Amino acid sequence: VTVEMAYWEARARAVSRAIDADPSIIMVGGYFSAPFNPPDGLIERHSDRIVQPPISEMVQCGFGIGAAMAGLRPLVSLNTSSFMFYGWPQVANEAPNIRYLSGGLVTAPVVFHVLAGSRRFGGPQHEHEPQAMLQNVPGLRIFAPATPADVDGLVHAAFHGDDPVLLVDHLLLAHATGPVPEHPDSALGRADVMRRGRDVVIVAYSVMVQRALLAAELLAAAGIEASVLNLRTLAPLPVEDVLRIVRNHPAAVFVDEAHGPGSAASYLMARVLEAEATRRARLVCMGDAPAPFAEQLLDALVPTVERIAGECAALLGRQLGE
Amino acid sequence: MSQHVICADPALLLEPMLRARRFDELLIANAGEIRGHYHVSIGLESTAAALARLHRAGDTVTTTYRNHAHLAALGSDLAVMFAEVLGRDLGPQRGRAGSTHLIDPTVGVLHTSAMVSGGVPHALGLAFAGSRARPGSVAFCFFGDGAFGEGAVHESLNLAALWRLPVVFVCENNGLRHGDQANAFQSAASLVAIAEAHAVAGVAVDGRSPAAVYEAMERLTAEVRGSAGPRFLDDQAPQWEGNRTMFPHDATGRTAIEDATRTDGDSWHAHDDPVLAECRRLLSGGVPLDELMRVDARVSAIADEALSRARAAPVAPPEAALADVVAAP
Repeated sequence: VTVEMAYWEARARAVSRAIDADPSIIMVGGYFSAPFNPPDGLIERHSDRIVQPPISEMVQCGFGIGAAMAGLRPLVSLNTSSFMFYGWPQVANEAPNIRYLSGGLVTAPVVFHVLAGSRRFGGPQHEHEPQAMLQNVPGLRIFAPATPADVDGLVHAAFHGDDPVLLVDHLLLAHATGPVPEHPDSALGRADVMRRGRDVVIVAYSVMVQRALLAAELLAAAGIEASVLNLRTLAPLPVEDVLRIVRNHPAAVFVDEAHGPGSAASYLMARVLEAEATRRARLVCMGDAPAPFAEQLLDALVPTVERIAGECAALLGRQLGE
Repeated sequence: MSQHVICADPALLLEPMLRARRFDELLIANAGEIRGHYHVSIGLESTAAALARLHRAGDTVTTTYRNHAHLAALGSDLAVMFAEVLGRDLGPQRGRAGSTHLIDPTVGVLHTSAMVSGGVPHALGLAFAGSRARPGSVAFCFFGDGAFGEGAVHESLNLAALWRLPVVFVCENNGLRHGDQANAFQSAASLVAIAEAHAVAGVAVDGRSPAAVYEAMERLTAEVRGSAGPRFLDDQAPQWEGNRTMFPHDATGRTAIEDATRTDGDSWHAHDDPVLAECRRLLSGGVPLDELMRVDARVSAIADEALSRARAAPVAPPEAALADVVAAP
C-alpha cells in the first residue's frame, strides 16, 4: 500500500524497519533517531546496538569501518556534514580502498549519514557539500535522496549493499511530502522523472529537486514547460538516464547546491556536451564563497527557486512574467 | 627478566622471527626487481613472533606500512607476499597493494592502512564486532611511535577504554628517547604514561628480547581476553641501521645463526638483533646450535622457494586496475 508521508517520517520508518529486521545493523551516534525522529522507541528497543561515541569523528568513522569489515552493518550518524571533515581520512582514504586492496575478499559496508548543504543560518562552517569532493573517490557509493520514497528506498539499499555509502541527507527535506510504496524502491543508478515538460529539463538531486519542482511551477505560469529529473544517486551516477532525457529536450539546466567546480552538475554537463546530447546547457550552482550567515547573503549564493526558474527562462531566451 | 618461564623451543618464537627476517633480507638482496617503495621489519620481529603465538582463530590484526613481519610470522604465504611487492598477479591483491598494504584475511589481517595511525580506529570496530560474534576474541593493533603524533591514536585509546573494548595496542617504538621525553616528538615522559592518561594500562618492554616481549604481550592479551578492557604495550626496539635511509639498505649483512655464539664487538648482531637474542636464549636453554641451523635452513628454503614462485607469476594485467572497485550491482 502506497502511503503519503513526510520525508522525516519515511526516514525514521526506514531506519527503524532496517534495525528491527537485521541484527547486524548498529548505529554509531544517535542523531539519526534523535532529535529529528519521533520517540519511536528505537533506542530503547536496541540499546545494545545503538552506541554514543564521544565527539571523536576520526575514531567514530574508523570504528564503523572496522565493525563493517568484521561483519556488522554500522550506520555512522555524523549529523552536520562538516563534522565528517574531522573523520575525513577514514571516509576518503580507508573505507573506499578496502574492497580494492583485498580483491573483493573484504568489504566495509558502512553507511556514513550526513546532513549536507545549506540548512540556513549555519554559517561558513556548518554548511558544506562534501558529496562534491567525495564523488572523486572511487569505491564509495553516494546516495542523495530527494523525496520520502527516495529515502525509504536508499536507506534500504545502503543496508543491503556491500560497499561503503555516503548518505547525503538534507535538513530542509524533513517536511517534504510524497507517496512511499510499501516495498522500498532500492534501484541504484536510475534517475526518476518527477515532472514532464517539453521546453527544458532541470537535472538535480537532494533538496534541489524540491526547488526544481517549485521552479517548474513558476515557469509553467510563464508558459514554459519544464521536466525535472531526480538523480537519486551520485555514485553510481545515472549518466545514461540523463543523456536520454536531455536528448528529448531543447535545453538542459543542471542544478547543484555544491559549488560549481568539481560538482556532479558540472561533470554531468561535460558528459552531455561530450555526447552532443544538447548544445544548450547551463549550470546553476552555489556561488563561490563560503555560506554566509545572514539570509539575504545566503540567498545571493544558493540556488533558489527563483534563480533556477530565471536561469531556465534565460537559457530559452525568455523572461519570467511579472 | 624472567626468560626461563617460557620453554626453549625454536618453534615458539625463533621460527616465526626467521620467516620474517629471511623474507625481508631476500627483498633487500633483490631490490633491483622491486619497482616502488617498500619497508622492512628487520629488528622488529619480537612483537610479530609474540603475535603469531598469541593469535587465535577469530582474532583480528591491524598493522601498518611496516607489516611484513606480522604477516610472515602469522604464516601468510610468503610467495603471495613477494608477488605483491613485485607487482605480480598471484594473490587476491593483484599488484594493487604493494608492500605497504599487505593483508591476509585468513589470519585476521583484513585491511592494512599505509597511513600513519590509519588502521588504529579500525581495531576498535573489529574488537567490538569480533567479541560480539566470539567472546574472548581480541583485536591486535600495531602502530609505530610516530602515530602518537596523530589524534587518531589518542581518540582510539580513549574510546577503547571508555567502552572496554578488547584491543591489544602494541606500539613498535623504534624512536630514541630524547632527554626526559618519550621521543623527540612527544612532550610526555613515556608512551605508557600517555596510554594510562587515557585509562589504558600499559607496560614498556625491551624489544630486543623476544622472550620478554612474548611474556609481556601474553599477560596483556590474557587480561584483554578476560574482559579487562584494552591494554597497551610499548615495545622499545631500536631502529635497525638499514632503515635510516629512504629505501632500506643492507646495513648488517645476512643474519648468520652461528653468530649467536659470539657477543664480542659492538655490532648490531651482537647486541641489538632480536633474532640472535632468541638464538642465544635457546642455546642457553640447552638447544644445540645444529638444531637452530636446521630450523633456519628449513625456513630459508621456504623463503627462497616462495621468491621463485612469485617471480614465475604473471605480471598483473591492466584489467586488474579497474576490477574490485565496488560490488557488482
